Amino acid sequence: MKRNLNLIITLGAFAILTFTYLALTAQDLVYVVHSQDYFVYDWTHLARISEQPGWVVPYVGSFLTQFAYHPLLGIALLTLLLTLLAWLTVWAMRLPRWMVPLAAVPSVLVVMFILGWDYGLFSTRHYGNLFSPTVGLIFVTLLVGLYERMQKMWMRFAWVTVVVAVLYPLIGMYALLSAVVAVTPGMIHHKDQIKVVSYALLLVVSLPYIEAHTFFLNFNSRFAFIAGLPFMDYYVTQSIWTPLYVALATLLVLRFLPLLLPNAGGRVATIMAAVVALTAVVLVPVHRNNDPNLSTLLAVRHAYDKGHDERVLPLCAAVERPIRSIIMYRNIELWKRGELLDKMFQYTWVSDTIKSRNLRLNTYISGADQYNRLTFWNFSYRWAMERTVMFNPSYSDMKIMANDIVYNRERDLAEKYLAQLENTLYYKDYARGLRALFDPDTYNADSLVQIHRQILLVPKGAIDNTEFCEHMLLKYFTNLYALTEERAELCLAACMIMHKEDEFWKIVLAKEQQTPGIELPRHVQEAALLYALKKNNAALMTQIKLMVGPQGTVCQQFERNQDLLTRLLVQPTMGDINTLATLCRGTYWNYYFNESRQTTIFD
Amino acid sequence: MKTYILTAICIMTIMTACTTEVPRDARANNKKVSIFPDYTEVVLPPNIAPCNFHINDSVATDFVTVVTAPDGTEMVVGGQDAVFDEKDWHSMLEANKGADLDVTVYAKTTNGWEHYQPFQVTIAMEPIDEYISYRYIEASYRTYNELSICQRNLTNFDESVVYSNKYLGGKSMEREYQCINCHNFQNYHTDNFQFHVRYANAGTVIVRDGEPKKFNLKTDSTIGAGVYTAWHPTLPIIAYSLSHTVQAFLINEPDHKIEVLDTLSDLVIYHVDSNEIQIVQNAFNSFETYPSWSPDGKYLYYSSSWMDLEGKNTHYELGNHYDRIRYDIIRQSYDDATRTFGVPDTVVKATAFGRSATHARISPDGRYLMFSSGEFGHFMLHHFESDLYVKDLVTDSIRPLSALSSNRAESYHEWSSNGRWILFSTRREDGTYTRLYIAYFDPDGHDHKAFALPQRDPLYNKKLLKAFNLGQFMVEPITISPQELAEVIKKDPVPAKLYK
Repeated sequence: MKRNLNLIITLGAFAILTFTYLALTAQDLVYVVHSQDYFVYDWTHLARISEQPGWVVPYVGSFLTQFAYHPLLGIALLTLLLTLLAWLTVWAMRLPRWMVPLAAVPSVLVVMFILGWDYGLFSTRHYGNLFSPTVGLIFVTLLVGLYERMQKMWMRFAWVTVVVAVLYPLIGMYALLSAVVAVTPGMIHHKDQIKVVSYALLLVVSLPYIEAHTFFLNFNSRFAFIAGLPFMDYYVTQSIWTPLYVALATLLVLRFLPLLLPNAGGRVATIMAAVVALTAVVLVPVHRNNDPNLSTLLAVRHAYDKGHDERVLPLCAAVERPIRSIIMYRNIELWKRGELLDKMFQYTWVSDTIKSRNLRLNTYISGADQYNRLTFWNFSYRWAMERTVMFNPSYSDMKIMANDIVYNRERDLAEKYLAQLENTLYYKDYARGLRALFDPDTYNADSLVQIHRQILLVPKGAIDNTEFCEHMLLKYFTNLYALTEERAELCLAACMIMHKEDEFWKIVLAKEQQTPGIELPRHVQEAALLYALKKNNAALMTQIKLMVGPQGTVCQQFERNQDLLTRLLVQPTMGDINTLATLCRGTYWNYYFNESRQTTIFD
Repeated sequence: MKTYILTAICIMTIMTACTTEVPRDARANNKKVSIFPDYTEVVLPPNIAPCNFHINDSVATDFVTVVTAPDGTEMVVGGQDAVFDEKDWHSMLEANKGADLDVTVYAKTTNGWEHYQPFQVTIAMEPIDEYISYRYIEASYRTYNELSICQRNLTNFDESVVYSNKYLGGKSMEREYQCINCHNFQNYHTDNFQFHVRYANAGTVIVRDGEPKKFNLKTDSTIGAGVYTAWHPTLPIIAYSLSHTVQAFLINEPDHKIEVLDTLSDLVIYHVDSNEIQIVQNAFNSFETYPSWSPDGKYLYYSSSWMDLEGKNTHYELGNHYDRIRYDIIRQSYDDATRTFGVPDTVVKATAFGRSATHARISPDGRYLMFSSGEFGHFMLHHFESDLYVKDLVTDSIRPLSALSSNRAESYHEWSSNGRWILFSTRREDGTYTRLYIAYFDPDGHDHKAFALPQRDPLYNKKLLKAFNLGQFMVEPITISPQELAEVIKKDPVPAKLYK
């Protein structure tokens, strides 16, 4: 009775804490992990996954991951399965009362693993990562529990044979682990078990390689013993997977412990519970990835996908030292609001590199999405395709490809991607929405099409081989093929970012001729005054001041700091740069002399 | 594993088809039926696998397809996917060589059963080679990931992996997988064949009399290892183009997203037995590619382009004028006794009429030269306008193969060993994912409407997110196992020597 009470309290506390913690802190993460996954209801997806031993685990994991489209539903499902895993651990290992709290350890480690992801979640080649470790461990505990309840020797031999020979192709290393966890403790108190132990170990050592080699011709059999785990990600993101490997090892420890220490005092259970809880409370937050850029990126992706574009700018603006992806998203949102040339330098341009052992290029992470938002449909499609090729299809990339191709009016190809999305659980409506664009009137009236027609004005056959998204865009917009209103705004921004004075003047003068007397955006005024100062031409300066308005705040701030700016143009010193950063924070001048020098490459 | 799953689907489909009855009282709706793949009015080989198809009709709720032979025998299948029993299919085709089969599709609508206008398929007298090989590759730009060279039995749906890069791959992010490409066979037989492995464990795997070995074909005097490949039909000689290839990405043209350019491109032959590379063409201003032998082995055909690049920035010139790069088809005689080549002779002067011609392939009877032609460039699969043409080498006339071509790219064509069937790559289905199509080329030299490589699941091509690449006919299967090839690939390559 006490044991059951202990169990109920442990599992209940675990479930409540896990759900609450994940719901409060990991909804964006869970959603984005889902968006990088893929589950299509046809045999092609099964065929793709089943090329390796242990395919059932990622397949089930991928099936369950689709529900994380609603993060709370995904978290609830995950919590349920983790709680089931803890219960099965007690059941399978026949844990005594004092050890019941330890049953939560594998589940806690899985939570640690999920929260520990870095940018590698954008480049995983395995499906179902959100759920597959839990599914795999549930298989192990179920099989071990079954073995534990078999008394006859022939049944145990049969169990070993079935698990290693038959279940290995289906659940991979989890079958091998089941065999090892189930049989090895038999050696301790039951010397008569040595035959079944030897038999099991013999099969575990010899069969996987043979089966992998024989039945899975699209699989490198050197990974035979870790099939079912995300082995293809292992080499670059191994530290992320550590909690999972510890969880696997924990099952073996838990199997041995009751045999080695069958009895312990009643208070040990309480102490044990406290130790597990405390360890979890300390270790989980410490281990989780606390990179503000990553969490912002996840929140941005989540906000965009759920149509909350208005949340993106505040999210991006809050990052103290953003990666290029965040700066790009920030600028895209300013551009959408028509505030790019007034506010783009009010936020920091001092950028950070991606902190990851894995994917470090912004283009690979955000290029397709950002090109898409700027209506560069060919290039967006390219990068979504590159990602699909390298990391396998995902909901996220499939949506982008479908979107690009529908906007590109490639009907037959669009049908292919739309059919894929229509075969998913949660993206049917997205596909239907895109289908509406097949109607020419709807297409022509679409706001993105209007933008595209203004900014993608290039000579026929124009090419660009720049690999990095931001660099390509800057190059593109400093090339003045045409100056429609929409394009001129982006061109001016690019010219200022790249310090392209000649091109800047061409646009400003063209604008002035088209609409004389119109007030120039704040940062354009700042750039015009600075570039005029560089020319060291009094007449020109007077003319520019007249153009920007001598009584305006920009002109007055410029005049207040003209000496400082002149010194910076002649011979910049750290002292002057620091002074500028204090006096002229949020101006183009600060970007020009200070922040642009602290910008990482436009990757 | 995929095979098991597909087999299960097939069995289930056939089981459901067993109870199908023909709605004889259906009324004619006088409409043409739309099916995928389009097998209407095509000429089929008598030994081809069942041409299963999907009926494009979103209104009807049930379907019956009836194939009727001239003697009145019928084959009946039910469902929107017309999936034929292999045994029944082969019996019907074998019994009706040279005859037309009528195919009638019945559809059940709210007004009862109706039937579309029947269509015909013609069964040719000449069989097709039993096997083909091809590469599965993503419709990629610069990156690649999972590649496999597969072989397929054309008389059924059996497909097997010849070699997959996943077999040795997955060891690191940077060099995760090898690139494997350009498989090529000597005269349709598989005891002599080759393919390239690039990046990890790089080299060219050459199987000679069934024995695989890996070679490094790059020498100090050549610009690289072999690329496009052609085994001599009888001698242990392989012709290779060597090239430095770059891609250019078009900013805003939906139907032309990539252009592939060679910045350097030469031609060599490799003497397999003496392990020697012999240079055929290596001038700086000319670009040679896509070698191919005449069936008698006396001529080496290839495509060649010329640009004045002397003293210029090659990348800049080519990148900015890629739409001026055009290829002609050249041939040079070859004398094996002296290992010498004759003077280059222009066979197809495509540049004279503002086009580019590549992939020369001579029919087994030596009469026809088939090639693909587009407005410029050499990588025709990225050119919507690329079509197949033949030059009659007897009459010197050139004509497009209009019946088999589409309004999207066609290229990478091959003759069957009897010269009656053409296997080619096309992007006709969606403009991006290359698919293999087959067309009949009759004894009078006329091409016929092409049909898609039959698949067990008729919607296979629509669901598949990979492209087929480099289809090749074979008269026999490859018997060497992927494991054996992997063992060879793991070894260091034997360096080739330069023939002087």
